[in-house]
Amino acid sequence: MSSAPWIQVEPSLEIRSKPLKKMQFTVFVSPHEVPQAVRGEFDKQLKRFVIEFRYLDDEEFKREAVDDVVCLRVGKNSQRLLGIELDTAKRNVTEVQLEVQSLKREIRKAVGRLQKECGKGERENYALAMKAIESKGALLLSQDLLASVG
Amino acid sequence: MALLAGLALAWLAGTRGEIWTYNVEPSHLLPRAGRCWSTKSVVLVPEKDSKVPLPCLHNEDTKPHDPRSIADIYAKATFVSTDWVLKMKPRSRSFLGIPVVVKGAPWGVIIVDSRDVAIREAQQIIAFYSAIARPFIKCLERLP
Repeated sequence: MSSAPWIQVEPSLEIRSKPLKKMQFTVFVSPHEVPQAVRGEFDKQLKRFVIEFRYLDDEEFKREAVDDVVCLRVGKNSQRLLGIELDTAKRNVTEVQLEVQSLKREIRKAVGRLQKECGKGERENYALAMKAIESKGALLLSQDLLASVG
Repeated sequence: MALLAGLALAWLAGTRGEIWTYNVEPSHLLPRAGRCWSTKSVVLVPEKDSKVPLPCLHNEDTKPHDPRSIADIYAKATFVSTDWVLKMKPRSRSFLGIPVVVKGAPWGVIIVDSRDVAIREAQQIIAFYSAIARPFIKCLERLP
């Protein structure tokens, strides 16, 4: 169980494109698809840096290994992105800041790959999860990650 | 519990309409709730900043010569059949559907409908739902 504090993500109300332009209704992305908070911590048991997303409802996850560094936690029922595990030990670390940048790239690549394999609803969720990482990246990939790779 | 949340949302919206909560098989859902269920999205009718309100089915002054044609417009906009509109003569002129998800799976839909031509507080209602949803869903998780 992680003890890192949750970092609130600014709520956003995204309008989803309509199936037909002439339809007279607006479709918003469900608040259940939008990460409410995010946190990152080095898990000593897993020996991995774990980024977790919190949604309005909790759900069990399955692991989907992308490569030997990144493993995604995907919701069993909803296919939402619930977390990202990063095996920082497998990286040949020479410069910490470079490492953080390269991990961000790895995450973007892994989430992008997942987006290609899924439906429209999940794609939006992955994009929103990515947005949360982008906006809170500095806080997330900070002390704890530096400690784990340093 | 869903009803309580629905009433709270209605109070927030200040609607003069009704609150409907659905927790049944999708095939038994009214189409407007079914639309939220199947798309897993929040649906707002009429669309945001719309200049074309839903027709009023109860105003004698503006009643058209052909009630079926106006019912047809209403039916198309609200995902129901024209026959259903003619039979039920709904009073609501706008509605907002919010899907309720428990453990990642659709649980039900909260429908807030109003006799006003637009639910202008849609964003506040969604924000309010987001604020109360976690404890509300924790209770739903315990239901058999």
